[in-house]
Amino acid sequence: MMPRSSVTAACGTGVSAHRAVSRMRRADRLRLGSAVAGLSVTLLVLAALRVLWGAYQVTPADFVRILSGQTIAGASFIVLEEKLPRAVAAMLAGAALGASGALYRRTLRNPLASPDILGVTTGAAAAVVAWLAATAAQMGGGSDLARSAAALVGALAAGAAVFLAARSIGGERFIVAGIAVGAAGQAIVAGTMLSLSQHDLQAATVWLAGSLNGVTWGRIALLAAATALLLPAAGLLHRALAPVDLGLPTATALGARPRRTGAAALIVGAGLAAAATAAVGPLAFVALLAGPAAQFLTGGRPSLTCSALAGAAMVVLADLLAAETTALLFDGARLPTGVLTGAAGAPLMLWMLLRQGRERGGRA
Amino acid sequence: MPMAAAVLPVVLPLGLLAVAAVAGLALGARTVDPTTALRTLTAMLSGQPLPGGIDAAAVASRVPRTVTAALVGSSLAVAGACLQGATRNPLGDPGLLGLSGGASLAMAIGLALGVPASAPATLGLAALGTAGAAALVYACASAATRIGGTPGAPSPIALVLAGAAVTAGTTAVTTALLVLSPAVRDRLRFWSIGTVARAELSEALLLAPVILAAVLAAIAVGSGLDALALGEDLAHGLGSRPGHVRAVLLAAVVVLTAAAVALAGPVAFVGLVVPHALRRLRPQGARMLLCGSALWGAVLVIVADLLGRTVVAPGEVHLGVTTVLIGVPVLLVLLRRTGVAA
Repeated sequence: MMPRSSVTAACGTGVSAHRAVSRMRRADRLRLGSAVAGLSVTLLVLAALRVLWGAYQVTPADFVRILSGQTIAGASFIVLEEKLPRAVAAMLAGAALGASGALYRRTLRNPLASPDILGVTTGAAAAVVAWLAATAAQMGGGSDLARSAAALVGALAAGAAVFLAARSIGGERFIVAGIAVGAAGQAIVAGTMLSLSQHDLQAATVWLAGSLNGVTWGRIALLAAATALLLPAAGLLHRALAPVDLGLPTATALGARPRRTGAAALIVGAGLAAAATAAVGPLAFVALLAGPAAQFLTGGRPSLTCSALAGAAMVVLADLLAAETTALLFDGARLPTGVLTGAAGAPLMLWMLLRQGRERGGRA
Repeated sequence: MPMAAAVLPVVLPLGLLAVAAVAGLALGARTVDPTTALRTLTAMLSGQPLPGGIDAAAVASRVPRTVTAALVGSSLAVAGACLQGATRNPLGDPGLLGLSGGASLAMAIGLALGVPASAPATLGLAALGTAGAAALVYACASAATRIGGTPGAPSPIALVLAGAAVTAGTTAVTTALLVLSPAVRDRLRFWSIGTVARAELSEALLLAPVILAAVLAAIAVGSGLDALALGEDLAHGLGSRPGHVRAVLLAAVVVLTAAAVALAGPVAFVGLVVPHALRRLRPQGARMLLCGSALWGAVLVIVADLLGRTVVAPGEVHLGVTTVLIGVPVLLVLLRRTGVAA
């Protein structure tokens, strides 16, 4: 079986070559399909764990009853105001960040070029804090829409600053310019925070560490709307940019318009990252990690769906560990979710740095 | 001629340092006239009783932070100059390369484990953390560079990327410890932004000899730094011992970074900005550069602290914020120069 197919492929007779290619395609599609299915099941299991398990446990039967509108003393409140919103927000924010990371990665053709490394999420956070300080609105009570708009403006401004500073796109210099812009954003955040009132300061501190603690249904609705709008667009752009993987000249020759499509992709990606940041704060490294995790599962093929699913699963898992497991281990203390993704992301970034060097070595 | 060459790097900042220090003592939420400030300072230094009145009390409360700012500025600027020379990397800065992050994390872990918060213990922990972070960043960056092409010293960009990863990881774990451990929270909550607002004079005076020794050690091997700038082989040929010089410089970097972080928390970009600005004045030789960095660094941080507490008075912008806002444009300008992107 194995020798025959390789021989026929080598002979290159039209029909059998076509058959070999379509077999490879089928295998590829099968692997992609199984990756999507596996990730979906993982996500569902994690989400179910997040809602049902923990310091306060809910039986599946009770959960169904609560969803269908019955009121169970205590359980209803905890499920509807605490566990369910966190799980839903975690899934949506993770999916948005994962998709945004995949889009940046493909457009900029650099695995390290994710919105969190480039300072885009920090820019969004800085704009939100600046807006809070300017309007002196309460963290939870202020208008969620204005807050998201501020996040979007901040994200786009940070992205534009990186472009202007680096002049080139996607290279290592670009990444360092992003790190510098991120540092400036962080400084603006730290400086502006001091002008917030004590009450706002506390809420802002929690939000800034990337926390799902303060999430509300209003914010979730906004995030859901933004994701529903931007995710399909991101999918289309991701597909349209597929020829870019072959290099810019080839892509242009194949009829793609990498500049225009790429610019649109970066704006949509910034929008997704900003929507997630406005809702749950800057979750470190999710956008950076979701892409490689998804590619590992699909066998190297970049997939926006898988990246979004992987991002969602990551945030739900991180939230589960941060909120419930630390509470068990450390006597009720709760870690912000972003702390966990940050600690897990740093070694991976170092590893990616090493691998990037190896790839460059292969090309040279 | 040598005197003239020393004017810009050394003599001018000495004068500026005096002016900045007096301004740092006299200005603030309550403005005091300089003579009162000086009289209070001499009284404090000579151990005599302080002159009475609110003005003297205001000056006395500003002495610790001004002294600490000067020490932190000198340490970080010299550490940056040493890093840039020893690794032949224009983007050398203890904060940018993740060393300050390692020091903060080590201090937080020590506090969480119940190590007493005395100055020597803190300095030791910070030095351990700095050395660990330095080793990790250097190993990762040189591995990435070696695989990528020319073996040898790691590329500046790889060092910065590895430093960013280490900073992100150490910041996350430090935040986790802040949340989980009350002992860490009590001591490090404000400090983790990078500030001299809560500085104590006793700590500063305890660490001052250590900082001075490290700066002098770096200046002592300064001529070796000149040879090093020509490359390993030429340095050998000139009779310098590059390995020896580099070891002394990196040891100085570790001690200086640890001392600065122990005093004021992670303050970034001072080590990047000061030596680069100073090079524009064309100091003659690495010794002059190191001396000048120590003095200009002190001036910069005293002024940054002064600006932070006068511009938005009665509020305050912490040192860690001010230095980043000064430093980021410098980094972006450096990036645009072709020499940096390797």
